[in-house]
Amino acid sequence: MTIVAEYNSLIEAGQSSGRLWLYSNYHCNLSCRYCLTSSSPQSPVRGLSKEQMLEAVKQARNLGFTSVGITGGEPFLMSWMPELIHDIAQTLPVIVLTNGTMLKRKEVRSHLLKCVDLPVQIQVSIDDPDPTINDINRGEGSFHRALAGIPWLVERGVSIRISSTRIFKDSATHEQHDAKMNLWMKHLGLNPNDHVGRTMVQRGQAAVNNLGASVEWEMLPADLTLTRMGAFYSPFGPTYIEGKLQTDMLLSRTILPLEIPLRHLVTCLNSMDSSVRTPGAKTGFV
Amino acid sequence: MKIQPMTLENAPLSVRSYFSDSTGPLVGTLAQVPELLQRTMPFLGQQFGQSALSMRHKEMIILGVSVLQGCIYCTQTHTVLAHQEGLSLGELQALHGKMDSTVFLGKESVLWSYVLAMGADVVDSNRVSLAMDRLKEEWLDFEIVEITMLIGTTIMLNRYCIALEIPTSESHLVWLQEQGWS
Repeated sequence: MTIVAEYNSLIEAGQSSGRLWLYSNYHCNLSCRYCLTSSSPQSPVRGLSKEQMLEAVKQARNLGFTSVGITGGEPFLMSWMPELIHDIAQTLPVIVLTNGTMLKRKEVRSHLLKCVDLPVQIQVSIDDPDPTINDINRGEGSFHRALAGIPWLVERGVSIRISSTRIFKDSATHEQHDAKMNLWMKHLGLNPNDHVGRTMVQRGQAAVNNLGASVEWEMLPADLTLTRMGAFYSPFGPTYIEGKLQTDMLLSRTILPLEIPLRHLVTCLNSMDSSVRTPGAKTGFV
Repeated sequence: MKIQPMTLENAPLSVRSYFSDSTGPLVGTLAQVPELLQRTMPFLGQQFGQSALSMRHKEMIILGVSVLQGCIYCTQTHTVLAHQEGLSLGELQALHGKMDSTVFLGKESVLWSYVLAMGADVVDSNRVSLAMDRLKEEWLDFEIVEITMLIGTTIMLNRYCIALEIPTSESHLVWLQEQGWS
């Protein structure tokens, strides 16, 4: 069986979503208390190059990946990111995880407008419609900074979804929170279906601050994730604690050709009892 | 150590099977590049483990080369392992260059000459050629291939361990001290 066929059968079995994740950089203009990558303005960039990312996406399509996710750090701190998103979207659908604070910039807006008819989605992290609650973990003023650029883009047809990191323990509170988020999104002119609640994972800075849920790696989505430091089993893998990379989900240091880390991912998944794995979407680790 | 070794706690997913509570620094550092460890371990296992060449002769080669290359970790570790393979105190001292190598006789004598020629910092091709001619009188071709590969691999590991300052295990150091080797 070829690697393409093997990977495709794992996607069909729900063991991997088919999304390739790219950590474009690790630095950020916010310093969230639960940040997996402990990103902040002081973090080293640890960036993938634009060329590496484009090449990875090109190879990903040929290997059977169905979409691309870009995350960081704050991806829009890389000046070439808006243009890159446009280029990547010519090859595969792309979702970009951002804190939203850069979306008001002219150069970002102009490129995103060119993506309106392309499969591009911008996922902005806002935890709560109440700025006071939101800013507890994401930093003072972060709510208003995140929100500032959204209405203009929504009015012009840019696909935006909101991601809120769940900080609650019980499902009833989850539901109340989701209802509040949905109402707020309608008010913003967004489709409530474009809200995604993410369970906070106790890795990186969240582990330092004793926040979130402690999760075994088998429970996390098995989506190949490329970083400057190597290829990982899941986007929840390449996390940092106090400047030290957590290597427990490291697959290989080789990221390109993409077939090499993909083979490691497939080997890992094939060696596991699939019944112990719970695909990420069902557990909220998305 | 110059490079932090991985441990069972932070072992990369793809090579976790190589790890236990007693994983050494060689595996621990190679795991920094999991795909390299995955390829290297079977390669090293084939050469350093059981094969057509006896373990006694393998330890002679590894220890002899490591002494010539000045690798403290490999020298100390393989002094212990060579002893465990039955090499006598006199033979160990000869491999350390502290005693006349006439302790090795017959085919082991020519093997030792070949190790000395090949394990030198600067290889003299004429000297190697002469040592090889003698080796061929006593050893079979497939054995010579294994011997030569083992010498080369030992030198590779010597340089790796020297550069990364791989430390000798505490238990080996204790044994060496008890035997007066420190």
